[in-house]
Formats: sequence, structure tokens, C-alpha cells
Amino acid sequence: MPSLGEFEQFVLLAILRLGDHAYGVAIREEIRERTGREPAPGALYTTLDRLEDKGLIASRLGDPTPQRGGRAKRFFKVSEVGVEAVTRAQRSYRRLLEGLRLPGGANA
Amino acid sequence: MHNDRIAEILVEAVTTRARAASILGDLRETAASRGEIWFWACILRTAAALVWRGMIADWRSTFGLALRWVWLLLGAEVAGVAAMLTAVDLWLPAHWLASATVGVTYAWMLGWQFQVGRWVARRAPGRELSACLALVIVQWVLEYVATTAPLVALGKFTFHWQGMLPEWEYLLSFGGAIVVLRGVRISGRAVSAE
Repeated sequence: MPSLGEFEQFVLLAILRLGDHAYGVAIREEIRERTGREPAPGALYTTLDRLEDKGLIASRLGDPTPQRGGRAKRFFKVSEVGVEAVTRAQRSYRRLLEGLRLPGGANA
Repeated sequence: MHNDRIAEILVEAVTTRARAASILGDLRETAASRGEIWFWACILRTAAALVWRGMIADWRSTFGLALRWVWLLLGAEVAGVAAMLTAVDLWLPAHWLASATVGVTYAWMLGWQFQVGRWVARRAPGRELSACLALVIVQWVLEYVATTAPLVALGKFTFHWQGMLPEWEYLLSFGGAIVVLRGVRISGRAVSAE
């Protein structure tokens, strides 16, 4: 099972949240809204490539649209292995947080 | 409407055509609210990030390829220059010698740099520019070490940051890679690779 970095987890969770509408712009927007961090497009596309190489996500091309200069959107979907990997990573986070009292945190 | 041809060429040089189209579409869509400067800054940063990823994603094979070819590059450069200078020395009249020497040396070095870039790019399908970047880095490090090591040994080395800058002719390797990429696009491999 591949290990995941923080940004890889952000991307996987954003794709899961967006369901069938997960493409580059929407993923960036989702991460920005939920985390307050705006990912650089270069970082996002290289991470998407890496996750696809690891078999954690799959992509398909949609139909070209005029707002995008006739270019197709690339839609992403988290694979079963991806869901397992992100679940495991989040479980590890929760175990590390158990018993901690962080200022402003859920268990404060 | 915007002229995206240059942006297209830049991004298609670092990823497959279908991926480049979707990236460009995403950036164009966002640029409607962010503006042209944002768009072009993102194009350049995205292209740089993709070249870098192409180099480090499989760094062993990329740098292995660069290391194999850099010896041929440097060895043949020196041998070729020496052979040509001997020929020039033998056949040319004395008053032409100085300018002919400089001309022949540069022509050989530049042509060879370009040709090796082309060979390396052909051996790294899908990551042509990344492989040439690795070649440039290896060549840069080797030449810097080769020129500074004797000075360090003699205790005469003083650090100047200008001395660390790569030679401009290294960039001709990328010219070789771009020629290969154009060939790839004409033959349609970039499309079928998706």
C-alpha cells in the first residue's frame, strides 16, 4: 500500500468530495475552500500524475466546451486502492491525535 | 479570442497532447476571472513542474541515461576539436588560422551538443525535455568539478558564484529534444500515447 503525503491526501479527499465533477479547476477550488490553501496548478497536476501512476486515481476525458477554448475537461475518480490508502492515512492521523488536547482542536 | 498557440506548444512539450489540452482548458477557464498575467505565470510554472517531475519520477533511469551519454558528449567534443584543429593547422594559411580555429571549435561543440541532446531525447520517449535537463545537470556538475578540482588541489580555489553558472551552449541539448518532439508530434505518437 503506497504511503501518502499531506497534499496527496488533500487531493484524494477533494476528488472524493466532488464525485463525478472532479476536474482540475474544481479540485483546486475545493482544496482552497476547505483548507484555505491555494495549490499551485503545477503542484496539482504533478500530484494528479503521481497518484495516477500509483494507481490511486483514474482519469477520463469529458466533452470539449467552448468556455475552455474547445478543450476537454479531465475528470478524476479515486480507485479502490486510493480509498483504502486515504482511509488508512486518516486513521493514522486520528490515532496520533487521540488523547491530545490541541488549542482550538476538536478534542480541545 | 486569446491566442494560446504558444502556451499549447509549451505544455505539449512536457506532457501528452490530451493532458496538455485539459491543463490548458483548466487554466483558461480560471484565467477568465484571474487575468492573462496569472494565466502565463501558471503556464510557465506548470511546464517547469512537469519537466522536473519527468526527471525525478524515475531518476535512476533518467540520470543513468544522462551519465551514459555525457561521456560521449565530453569525450567526442574534446577529440573532435583536437582533430579538427590539427586539420585546420595543416591545411589553412597562417593568417586565417586564428579565426578558423575559433569558428571550427565552436561549430563542432555546438553541433555536437545539439546532436547528443537529440539522441538522448530519442531514448526517453514521453520525457524528452526532462532527459535533456538531466544531461545538462550532469554535464554542468562534471565540468564544474573538472575545472575547480585542480585549483582546489593547488590551494588556489576562490569561490565566485559566476563560476557556477552553466555554459549557454548546454541549452542546445534542448534544441535537439525539441526537434525530436516535433517529429513525435508529426508522427502522432503524442496522441496515441494517451
